[in-house]
Amino acid sequence: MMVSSNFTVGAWLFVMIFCMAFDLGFTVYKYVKRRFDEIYSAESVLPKRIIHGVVYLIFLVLAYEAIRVRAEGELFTGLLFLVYTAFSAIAIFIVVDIVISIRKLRRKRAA
Amino acid sequence: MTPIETFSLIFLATILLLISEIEYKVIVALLAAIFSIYFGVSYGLYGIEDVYHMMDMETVLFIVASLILFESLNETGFFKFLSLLVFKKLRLKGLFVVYVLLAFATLFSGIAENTITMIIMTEITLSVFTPRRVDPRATVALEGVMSNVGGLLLPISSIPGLIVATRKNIGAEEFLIIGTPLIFVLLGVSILYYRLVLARQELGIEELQVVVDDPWKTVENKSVLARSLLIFSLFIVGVLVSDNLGFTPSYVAFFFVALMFMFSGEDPRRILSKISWDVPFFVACFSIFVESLDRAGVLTLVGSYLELLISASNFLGSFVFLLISGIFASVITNISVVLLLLPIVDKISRTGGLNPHPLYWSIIIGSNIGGGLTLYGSLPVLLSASLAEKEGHKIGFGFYEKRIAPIVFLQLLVSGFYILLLEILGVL
Repeated sequence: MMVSSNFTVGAWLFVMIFCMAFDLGFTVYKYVKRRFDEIYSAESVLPKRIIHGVVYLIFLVLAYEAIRVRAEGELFTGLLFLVYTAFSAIAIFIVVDIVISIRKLRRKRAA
Repeated sequence: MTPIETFSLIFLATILLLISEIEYKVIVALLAAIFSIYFGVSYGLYGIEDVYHMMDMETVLFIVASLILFESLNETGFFKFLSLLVFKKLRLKGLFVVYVLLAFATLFSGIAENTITMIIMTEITLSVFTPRRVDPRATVALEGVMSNVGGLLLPISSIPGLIVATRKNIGAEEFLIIGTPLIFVLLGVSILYYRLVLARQELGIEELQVVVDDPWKTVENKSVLARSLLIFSLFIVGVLVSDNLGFTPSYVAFFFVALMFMFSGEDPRRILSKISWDVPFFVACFSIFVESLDRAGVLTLVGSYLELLISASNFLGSFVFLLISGIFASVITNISVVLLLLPIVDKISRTGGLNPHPLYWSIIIGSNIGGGLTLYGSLPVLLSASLAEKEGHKIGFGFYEKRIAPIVFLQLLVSGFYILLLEILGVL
């Protein structure tokens, strides 16, 4: 019974952290997307939008590494998980943005 | 992640940002420096107290002093006065007007900053071409290319030359011995190209004529011009003999900055406000980044690939390296090319037992000229294009690549053979 209760609390905590991180990531991505749409509204600058997306992905990896390299020990495991989830959420949306831009570019070149 | 993986990612992000020009180049350099210092210190590659030494302050200070002195001389109206005086005395017509314009663009960029040169030359060219309704685009763009060539005249003539000269102790005499003949050869090749290729496509070019009323009208104060010119000339002599005096070039340059501010009669605040501060800022930040790449082992990795290429090309190593520098400079700023390739050359020459001197010259020449391969690769070319566009003469990417880029490629090839010849003759 105790094990089950602990498991439920653990699962609840996991879901809460995951949702918070995902929400945080999505909010950040919305800001990034707004900025991208402002700068790269024309189709002619799609390659730049793709490069910018790739650079942001690299920055996410570097930001995670920047925290990881300083945050060592058991205490930071939870924090790292939160950061990892948030960054992954941002990264997923940026990857989707890159894929859409590549498809648009290919369609434009084919036309 | 290992330090080499982290720094490879920083390297990749920096190169992508520089190529795509998404952010202003100083912001890119600043970002690269901030990331590098953070990870460099965190990984224990160096301490925070080492960062100051990684900035290469000698080069940065010399760049600042040179920019102040160039701007001081430009403010007197000297360059415009000199070109109008020559046009008045020689009474040139037709294609000879173009040849002299190209020669001036080359010469002026040897003793002034490239951007200053291009502002003056574009203004003069448009004032000569527009009244006669002759298309000035090819001439203006070629002047931008020639101002890159002029950067080979002296160590102070271009930032890439200046960086290599201060770091590798290459004196002004060596620049005069190696750079000057090459400048004349490249000017000759370019004039020939203009006559055989470009002039045939320009209608009415034979009718060009320069009408100059009084060149002195461009000079605000003759006394200020004379004093500034004297101090600037002494500065060039001072840099030439700085080694013999036992002082660093930056000390000598700042000595003449003090003289210029005190005795030229120009307003120091006005001069300082007109300096391109982004250049020293970029060099300082990028030097930290490159030094960090070196300590993380990224440059050794890149160098091992380049070493394979250079070893495979046997005696053509310097020729291949010149082309590599040129192609890199056409996509990223030439200062970055020099700062990145210089430590790689040192590594290659150390491990392969090669003479690094021809490779240093390959970097200087390739990074100076190569920027002209694309419209966006070289600041003087881009500046000349935007100034011409303001007056209604649009120089598009297609126009540039079709008519001007071939001569830049030809210049790179000629320079490569020139370096090989100097190597065979034992000069390098």
